[in-house]
Formats: sequence, C-alpha cells, structure tokens
Amino acid sequence: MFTDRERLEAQKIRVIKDCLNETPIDIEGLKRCSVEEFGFVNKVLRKRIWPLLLNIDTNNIINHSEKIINHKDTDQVTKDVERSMWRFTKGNSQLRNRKKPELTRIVNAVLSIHPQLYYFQGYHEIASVLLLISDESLAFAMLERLSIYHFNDCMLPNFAEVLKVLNLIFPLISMVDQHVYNFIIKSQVQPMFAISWILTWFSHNLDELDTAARVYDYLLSAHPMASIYLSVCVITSQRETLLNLECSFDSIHAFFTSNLPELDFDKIIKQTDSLLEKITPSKLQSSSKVYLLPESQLNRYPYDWMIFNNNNTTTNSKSSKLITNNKGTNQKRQQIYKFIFFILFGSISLFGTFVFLSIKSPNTFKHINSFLSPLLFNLFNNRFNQNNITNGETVSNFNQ
Amino acid sequence: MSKEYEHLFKFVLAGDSGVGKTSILFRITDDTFTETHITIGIEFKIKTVYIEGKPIKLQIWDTAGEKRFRVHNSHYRGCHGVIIVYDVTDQRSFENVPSWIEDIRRYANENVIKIIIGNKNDLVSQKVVDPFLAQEFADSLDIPFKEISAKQSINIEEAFISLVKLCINRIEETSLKKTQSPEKNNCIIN
Repeated sequence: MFTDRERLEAQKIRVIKDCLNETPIDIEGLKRCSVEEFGFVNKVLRKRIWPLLLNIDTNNIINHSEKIINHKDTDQVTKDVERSMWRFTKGNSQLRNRKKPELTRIVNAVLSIHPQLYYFQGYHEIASVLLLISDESLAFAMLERLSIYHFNDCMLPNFAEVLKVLNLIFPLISMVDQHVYNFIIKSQVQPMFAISWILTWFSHNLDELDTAARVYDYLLSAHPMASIYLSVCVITSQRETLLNLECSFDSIHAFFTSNLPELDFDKIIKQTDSLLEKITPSKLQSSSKVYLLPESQLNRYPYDWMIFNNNNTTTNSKSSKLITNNKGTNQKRQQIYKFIFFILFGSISLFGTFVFLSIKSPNTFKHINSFLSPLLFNLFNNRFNQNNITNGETVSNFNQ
Repeated sequence: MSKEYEHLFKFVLAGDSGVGKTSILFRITDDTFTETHITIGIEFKIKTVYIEGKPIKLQIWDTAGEKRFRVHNSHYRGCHGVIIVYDVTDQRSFENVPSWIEDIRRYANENVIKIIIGNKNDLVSQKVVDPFLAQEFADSLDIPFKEISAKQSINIEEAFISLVKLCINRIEETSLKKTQSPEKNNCIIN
C-alpha cells in the first residue's frame, strides 16, 4: 500500500517528466513545478534539472582542477571546509571525507578563475548543497554560474550591497503583516539576524539536506532576489511564536538566529512566489527607497543566458503584457472618473452656496417684504427685530 | 521578592576566524565543545553565573571573524566587556589582536572592559605564540591576559569570572564616586 504522500510524489514525478520529455525541454514548466508541493522531489531529478535551470552545457564543462591557483582566500577556504558539511553528512564520515577534497577544489577553482570575486563565509555551504545533490563537475559549473550572477553582490570587496538587501526585508514585511512589522520596529532589532539566510540560501540554518534542496529548487528557479521574499515569509509564518516573545532586540535576534524550526516550506514557497509576483523587486526598491546599484546583477534578471524556448511561453508573456496594459488603462479611466466627479460636486456646491447667499441678501429681502401678507409681515418683522438687536445701523435705516 | 539577577552584562567575543570564539561560547554556556560550527553574522547565548551567591546574567555575543563581516559593528554598542581571542597555534591571529582592539576603541564604549585570551592551549606541540610576549603586550595596554583551552575546558570559567568581577568593580567604583561628589551629582541633575 502506498501512502498518500508517496502517491502525490509519484504524480508530481510524472508532471516533471512530462516537462523533461518536451522538445525542447519545458523550462518554464519546470520552474512552475519548483513552486508546487515537493519541488523536484528527489536527488536524481535535481541532478538533472538544476543544471538545466542554470543552462549549463553539461557536455562542455572545463576541467576545473587544472585552474586552481593560490588565491587571496585560500587559507580561509581551507579553514571553513574543515568545519563544513557536518550537518548534511551526519553519521556518514566516509561520505564527508570523500566530499571535502571535492568541495575544496570547486570553491578554489571558481575563486581562481574569477579573481574579482571575494570569498565570504557561507559560500562553501552553497557549494556543499550543490555537491551533495550532483557531482563535482556539475557542482563546479553551477557554483560558477551562481557566483557571477545570483551571489555576485555578496562577493564584492565589501558587504555594502548585502546590507541594502537586508534593509529591504523590514519594508517588505510592512506590506505583508502590519502587526509583525510594528512589533519588529518597536523591538529595535536589526535585520542582521537574516544575513545567513541571504548569504547561504538558508542552507546554513537547516538541519536536513532534503529541506535545503527543496529550498534550492525554488531559489534556482526564481528571481535572484527571491531569498528576500522567502525570508519575509519565513518570518511571518512564525508570527504567533514571534508576537509572544519579549519585544526586545536580543530576544528576537536570538529567536531567528537559532536553527530554524521544522517549517512547511511547500506552503511558504507558494506564499513567497505570490508575494514576488504581487510586489516586484523594482517596486520594492522604489517604495522602500532602498536602491541596489544599477549595475547589480540582482537588477539584471532575467539573464541573457537563460532559455525562453517555448512558443506557448512567448504567447503567455504577450498575454501578460496585454493584461498589464489593460490594468494601466483601467487605472487611467478611474482617475478620469474621479476628476469628473470632483468637478461636478464642486460646481453643485458652489451653485447651492450662491443661491443661499442670494436669498439672504437685503435687496431681495426688501423686495419680498412689499408683497407679503400681514401674517408673513409679522414673521419677518420679528426676524428684523432680531437683526435690530445686533446691528444699530439697520435701526436708523428703518426709522428713515 | 528576589530579582531574577543582580546584574546583566553584555560581552562580545572578537578575534580572527577559526580561533575558537564559538567553541568558547559553547563551553561557557552549554559546557559542550564544537569545532564544526561557523558563525555567519552575529549570534548570542545567555549564561547565569553566581558571584558571592548573587546571580549575574551574561549575554555573550559571538561574531563572525572573517574580515568582511566587520562592516557591521552595532553589536559593540552598549557592551560591558570584550573578549579578544587569538589561537596560540596561529601567529597571525595574535598579530591581528591590535586590529581588533582598534575596532573596539572605535565602536565600543570608552570604558569597556577588555580581556585577551589565547585559546587552544591544549595543543602543546603546535604552540607558536610565546606566552611571555603575549603577557608583555597585554600588560603594556593594561589588559588582563589568560591562556585557555575550550576543548579541555581549561581556565575558561576563571577568565569569565575575572571579567565579571572587573565589571562589578567598575559599577561599584562609579557608585562610590557619585556618593563622594554630591555637588557634581547635583550639577549633573541640574
């Protein structure tokens, strides 16, 4: 008997294989699969799909070992690799000992070939995930691609751009959950607690390789700034626990920097993708007034090496553009309607005021007075007397 | 009614990557040893120690040692003490201690209390930093110095206790000065 989960996974595998069997391969379909439950499901499929998402020519990967030189971060890499891979190879020291030299080689190779890239602590964790899911050659090629594009801002001489990315998290929270936002601002906590989420795509903070791989399914498929949106959804998904903490920077910082609890990443990834579609990275930057450098690789997505090979996809893109245009037109019409409404309302108000003032004017009053019956005369006379009390000049006129 | 703690002190662990800052933190807070943890960003743990029967709560902040993480320095704000760590088997980590002291001078309170700690003292055959030279350097700056081992749990408790006592003495000195100078005190209030 298969469990429900096994049946659903098998069903998902069929959907994925349908995308892979398309000619050419349905890359957009695969990206949609990364959002749906189970992502790419298992190691075998990931090893096949991840290079496709990064458009790696798997038949022409260079021999990276030959490229290794003694670069500026060799010592730090050695230190960090020695301390790495423990969580994802628990109870399997043979695997760990076999993979560590491979990890050292692929990291040093990328940094040797691209001297403009600066190593950061956590880089080896990204490399670990790629290596444990695929093989040394594929992991090198994928790591190189990610380093030049998705993680380029993390590999500049300083962390100025990383701090900007972190400073986008709280403004984005304010657009999602006002209570969480108010609580966080009141506590004076800094977004620094999320730095390892951004630098390692959460792999530093997750205990299980399967969970890290599930997260990578999505982040490899999505906009390179998706990790910001995922961070926000990870925070808001824990709102109940969060809002019960003491409202201070240290309790909140400690809460988020300990290892992540077991979260439903399938659900969180769906929320992330909806949020990313609703609030685009350019919209997020303009509304929060936190702008990445114009030349930032995060602002240049989609990249020119990416495949948009499906005619249906092209049609869909055009349809999306048409929808966008319609939305723009609708907004303009609404603005015109509002304008017309205000003009009419203003005109009516002015006319009413004019009529009211005309009725109250002295000339009109006298004119009416000469035609009124004695009863009405008494009524107005009474009113006139009231005016008499407040205005002496009027009395003089009456006597005359 | 008894307080949860008599004092709350915030300490920061500083020093090069790989010298054992996190190992020290785990030893003092959990009495465990780790050499597989890499700190990315800033993390902290809480520990309560007892000095003369009084509970003292320590908030110990662990920082990434890699140089590009030093762009972020707000963790020094409001801290009472900084533990500058070097590795006795790594000459360069000792030579970088002045650079960490410069960071502290720049970002921490002027009167922050410092202590210099040489870790991995259990690795006798690999030791390269001369303890007399280190003591001399620390003395020249009027900073306490201790060699410890997080792995073997040697001297760590003593190092932290001495740091806590220095912080308590600092508070008591401050209180005493205020008591002895009532005019200055009034002036400050005005």
